[in-house]
Amino acid sequence: MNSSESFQFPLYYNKEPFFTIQPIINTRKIQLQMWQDLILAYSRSNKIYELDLNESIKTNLNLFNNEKINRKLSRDSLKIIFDDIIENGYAEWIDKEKNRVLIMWRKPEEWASLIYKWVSDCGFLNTVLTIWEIQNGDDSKKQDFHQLNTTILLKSLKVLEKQSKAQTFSSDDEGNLGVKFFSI
Amino acid sequence: GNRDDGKISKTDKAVLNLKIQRDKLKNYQTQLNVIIQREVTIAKECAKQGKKNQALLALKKKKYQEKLLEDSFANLQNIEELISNIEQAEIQNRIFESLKQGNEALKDIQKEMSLEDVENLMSETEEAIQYQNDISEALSGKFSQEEEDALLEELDQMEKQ
Repeated sequence: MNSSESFQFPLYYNKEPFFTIQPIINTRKIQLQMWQDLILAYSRSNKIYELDLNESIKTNLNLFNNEKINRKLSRDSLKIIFDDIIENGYAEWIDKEKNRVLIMWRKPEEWASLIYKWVSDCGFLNTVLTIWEIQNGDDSKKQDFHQLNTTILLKSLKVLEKQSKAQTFSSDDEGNLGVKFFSI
Repeated sequence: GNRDDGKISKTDKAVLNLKIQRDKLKNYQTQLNVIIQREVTIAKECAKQGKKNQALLALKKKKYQEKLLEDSFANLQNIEELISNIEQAEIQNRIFESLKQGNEALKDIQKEMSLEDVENLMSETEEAIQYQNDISEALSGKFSQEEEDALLEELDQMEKQ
């Protein structure tokens, strides 16, 4: 996991009550929104796309565990917070046990626009690109979507497919995917 | 939406295969570089500790990996050249198709406008111009010199306004 030294935690991260899910509905609503903002900002800063909740508790991930004030989120609180983030469309459960979560600090639609613009600017329209080269190619190194999570990348490509701006396809049985982008 | 295979040609699939091989080669090169770095580190450590044989062994391994890396560059170049050739051929093919289409469109337009049609149109126009001149002459004969001068002066006044 990347070091989170460059990430600035907000002030409310150091307040004890923040780590206990509030009983009063209105307060809770605000609190959940703050947790969502914090989690998405932290994930964005560290380019985190997936989280294993049990693991993060075991390893005392600083996002959920503030050692300075000796407070941390319980496993139940985590579920409540993430259920809310998922309802707002910024995350998805990866497994049935609801332990691993896919974090979409940027939604597929936004990634889709970014990628399409890059493809267009680089003169890649109407040529074939591999999924791998979008994530890892030399041309993608300076882009935000460098090393983008594959699940999210595929979702973004689906968005483009619906807009008739792209078509994914495979050429062999190994499931290696390629994509062709079209000018509209 | 539906997978519209009409958008993806056989050539596209062939190019994809080549690009997948290219990606695998690049990945392989990254791995080789990691191993090479590791052997260098081992060699340095062993040299420092006076373990000559082990240092030498590490250097031999490094040499071998470097040879593999060199070979992979040759393979990579071949693949990239082939990809480039195919993509260029596709572009040229599309240009050729466009030229063919443009040429046929031009022929169709020219069919509707034969030389005979143009000559007929030109002579009709000439007749119309002649007719106009005849009328002007006929009209001009109806006015006396005095009336003509008055008309000219009226025109002058209009121009001065």
